[in-house]
Amino acid sequence: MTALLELADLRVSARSGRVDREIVHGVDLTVEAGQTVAVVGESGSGKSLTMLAVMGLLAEPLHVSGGTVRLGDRDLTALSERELRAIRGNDAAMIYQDPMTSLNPLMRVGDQVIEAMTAHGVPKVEAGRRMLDLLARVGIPDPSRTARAYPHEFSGGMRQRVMIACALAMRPRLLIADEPTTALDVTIQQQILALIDELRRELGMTTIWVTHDLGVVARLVDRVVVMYAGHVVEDAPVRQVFSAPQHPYTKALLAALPDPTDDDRPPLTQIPGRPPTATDPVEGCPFRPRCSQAVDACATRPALQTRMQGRAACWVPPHEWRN
Amino acid sequence: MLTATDLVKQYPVRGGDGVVHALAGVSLTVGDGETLGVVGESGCGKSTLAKLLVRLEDPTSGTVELDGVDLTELRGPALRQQRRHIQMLFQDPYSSLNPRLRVGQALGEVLAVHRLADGRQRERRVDELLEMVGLGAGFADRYPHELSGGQRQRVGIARALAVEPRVLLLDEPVSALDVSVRAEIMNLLVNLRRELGLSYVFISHDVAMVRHLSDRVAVMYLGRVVEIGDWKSVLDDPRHPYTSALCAAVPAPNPELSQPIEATVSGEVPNPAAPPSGCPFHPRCPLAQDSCRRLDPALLPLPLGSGRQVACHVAAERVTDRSAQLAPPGS
Repeated sequence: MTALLELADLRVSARSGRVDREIVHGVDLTVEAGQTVAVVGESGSGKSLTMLAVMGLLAEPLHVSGGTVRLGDRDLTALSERELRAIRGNDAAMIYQDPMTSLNPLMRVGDQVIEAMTAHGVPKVEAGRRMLDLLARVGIPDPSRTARAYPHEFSGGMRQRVMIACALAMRPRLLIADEPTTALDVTIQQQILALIDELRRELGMTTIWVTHDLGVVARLVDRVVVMYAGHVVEDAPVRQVFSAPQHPYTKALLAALPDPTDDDRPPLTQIPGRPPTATDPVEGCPFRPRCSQAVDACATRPALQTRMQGRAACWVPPHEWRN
Repeated sequence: MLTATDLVKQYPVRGGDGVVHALAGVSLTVGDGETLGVVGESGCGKSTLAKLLVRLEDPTSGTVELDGVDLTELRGPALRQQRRHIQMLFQDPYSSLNPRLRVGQALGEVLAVHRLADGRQRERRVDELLEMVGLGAGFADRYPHELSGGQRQRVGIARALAVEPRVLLLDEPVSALDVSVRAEIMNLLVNLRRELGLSYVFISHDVAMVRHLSDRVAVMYLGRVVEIGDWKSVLDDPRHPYTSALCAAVPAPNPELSQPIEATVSGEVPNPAAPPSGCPFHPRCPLAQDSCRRLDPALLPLPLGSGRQVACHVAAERVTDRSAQLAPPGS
């Protein structure tokens, strides 16, 4: 296997006056070509910022403050905005939670899909033909008619389909899907997940799902990366993450979900306290103040180390965990 | 006991002469101390139902009764008095709190409006309410922007409890919260229900959370209840194809189970201004047959004599077929 995407010590900071506050604290992550990975975390974990940094889409005051993002053989952090534009939508594409914010409300949906191709040098006539195929492929009924509609005439699910058509028009090698179904109804969520997964197979795309919901990704991915307070705390094959979590935060996050097979419906497991913030960081392991397993060693931040088939950033191995 | 009978709510279509049938005849009851989960997707009428139950809006027809008192008939002070008994908690704790009021002031205001306590007594009651939702009296001096999402939702719960209601309408109360915070709020709701003997109407699109909290569950689609019964039979052994689809769309968080990634239902919810003929679910239903296109199925006990009701021709036929075969129970 070859690495398609390689993040090395990637840091994201926010400028605030003369200070630079670091929010993502050195992410190391390698995604092999063809792999499907979930990046999981709660709000403030840095999961979306990390992926926006990969795409070169951070907006002031946020910026990459260290490390590299290698896509294939290029370091994206060293490229100009112009060079990045040539890569975005072509080699790598991203779809977001709310399609309304990324579709142009004043432009017919068909034209937006065409533009996603002409921006990368596809002749207009060919792009027009491919647009109809793409809209049909993502499940838009009667494409030659609906291509003339504006985004506001579409339902949330249909807009998300248009965004998928735009993102996949150039057959990117890497797709980042950031909570693409969170705003949608349950049955529509299911349709969109199935569609992205189908297209992923068809195009052989390397795919990163960014999500807060472990349940949704369990069936979709090979591997799960858990982020907490701007750090990767666990990175392991999906089965291992669920059956033998190697970081106490991963375990707590799983226990906070109701078990749909348990008829006794016991209280959900809570995680005491709140995550650290950029203005109020924690010394040592960022999870230490909330962790039921914390020991003295946790005053020093643990690096990711090999645990079974994956990696975890924890000084205390699971066999030493107290209940 | 809260009883809604044949609630209909129609809204005029903007700029047209048609009507949107937001609710097309919904009947349900919520017993003392009982939690009724209401599950459905956008456009199913669950939010309209909530607004009618708290009398934020009047129904086109039908009644809402609390212990035999018809709330839809009440006006003025009598309505204010009854309204206290049914309080609503909204999804978004951010937008439902006045940013300029400290938490203590916000709660005190509710007590003042309803003339429930004044002076020193009001302060004590505010502290008591904050303790009740697990925040502690120290939070009285905080402003909403100083609180996390979970803390704001706790303040929302305290405000709803200030008037000593008997029924809480929970409209997607944990949907905007992170997984770990969601667990805290769900546990708090379970504890308050037990301590205060509250009834809940828990409105959510999240089948897993509805399963966790509810005694009975009503599944809504396009302005009607399509299945209702005790939580376990409805969610673990659904009879309506729409309930089945909803349940299948919420995977167990377990990669060991083989759970195919496939759309369980095709198409989208139809426009409630132009609902389909017959069963409202038939255009998306994998089991639809001829009768489903012609006749709107009634909500019937299925199996006969059970507490569960289902509005589906196919489910009804299956039960009839089974009894026609005179098969011994369990086979």
